Amino acid sequence: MSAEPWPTEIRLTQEGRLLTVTFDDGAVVALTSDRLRLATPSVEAKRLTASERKALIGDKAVRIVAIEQVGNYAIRPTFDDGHSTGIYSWAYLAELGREAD
Amino acid sequence: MQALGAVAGPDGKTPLSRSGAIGGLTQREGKIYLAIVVEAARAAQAEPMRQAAQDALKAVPGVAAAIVTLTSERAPGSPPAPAPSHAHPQQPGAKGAPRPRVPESVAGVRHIVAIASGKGGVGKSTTAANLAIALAQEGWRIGLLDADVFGPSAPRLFGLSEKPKVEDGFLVPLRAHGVKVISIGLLIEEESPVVWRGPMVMSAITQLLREVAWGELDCLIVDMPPGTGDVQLTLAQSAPLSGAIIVSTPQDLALIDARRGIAMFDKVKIPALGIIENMSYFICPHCQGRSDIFAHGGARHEAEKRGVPFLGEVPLDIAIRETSDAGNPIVAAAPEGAHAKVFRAIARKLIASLDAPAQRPAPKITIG
Repeated sequence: MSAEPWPTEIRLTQEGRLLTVTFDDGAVVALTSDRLRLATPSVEAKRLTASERKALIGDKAVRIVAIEQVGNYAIRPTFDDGHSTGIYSWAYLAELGREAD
Repeated sequence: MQALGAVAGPDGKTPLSRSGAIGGLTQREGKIYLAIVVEAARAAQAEPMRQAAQDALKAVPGVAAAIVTLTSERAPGSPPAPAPSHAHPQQPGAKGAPRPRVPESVAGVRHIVAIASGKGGVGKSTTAANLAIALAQEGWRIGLLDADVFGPSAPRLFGLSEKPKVEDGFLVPLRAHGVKVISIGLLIEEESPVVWRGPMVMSAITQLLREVAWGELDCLIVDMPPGTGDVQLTLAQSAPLSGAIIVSTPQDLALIDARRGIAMFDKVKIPALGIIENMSYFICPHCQGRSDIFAHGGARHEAEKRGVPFLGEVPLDIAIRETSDAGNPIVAAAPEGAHAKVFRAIARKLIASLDAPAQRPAPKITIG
């Protein structure tokens, strides 16, 4: 088994505005839905530069309305603006958490 | 979204747009597709809400058509897969709240194990069939999903030819040698070629996975098509796989591809449960001399190098080939024979590693 952090719990609160991920190494990462939406790893968004991303996805408030588990390695949240093609792997969630610090 | 504010959600009070019951909303060329998540048991009561939401969306200027569907998560009360011990109690307060999805058909399946190979012709399907029968002989409830859509071989290996029945929209798997079997080969003629484009393959796989009444199983063996492509990824993404077993012959040429297989599963965080060396050696039936036709021990070395368990060596033997072609694989044909013992030993190793708590369970996803 690799030593990468592995989440033990993923909790969506504040009516879908806050995603809290607890990792097995004890780290707790809190990510807002707006931030997750902006950082979507979906292919369409990956082509965009940081400023294009901001302009297209913007600062508008979004909520997560559903979370689907993808195999054994990721989640796929559905946002209330209709976006649902971003697959967030455990490693990516951990990375987003480190950036937030 | 605003239009939905006027429609009452599943609880009859909260506006639909804020009830958390919206499973998905897509907009394309003036058409709106909306999915509302409701409990399966409440679907009938939810019909007026669905109609109201559809009418409300149609009334929005610029909307040419609106299609609203009700979707349900797994049926209430059925055990969540893959590990019931990690189940969390259903939250009665969260009516129709979205939950992590597991296909209903595999909800009663404890483990899903993929049998893969980097390349074709290494005896993967024969190994999968014998291993499935060996696991059944060890007392496990076993299903075999033949996902090799281009060259389905399970019907031949298990001597099956009748078409599976459909009950309540689910395919009923056939039974042979104590194993429940479903294969794309049971649905099409043996001689007809399968000429499929990528997306068709993926939807066929998803159907085989989601629309089969597997019932309660200890382990579902998935016989994968050779290679590392769309099908493998689709499976890895749509089913909670416990792990993968790689079948390889000992020669370098095959091992290079086996390595690719391991690397692919590693990418999607599916642990390699082990490597099986097939066609490991050949005992001459005339002189009893042993020949290592494809060299020997290559897979064992590879396994050691990668830190992956080595599960066993299966010899190249005409009896394995003959019994497989006859629809009565060696483990079923001669359960006390030397070859069956090899597969039984592999099966026991697999059971031990699946039941070990070392595997990290997927995280608990809580909403609300």
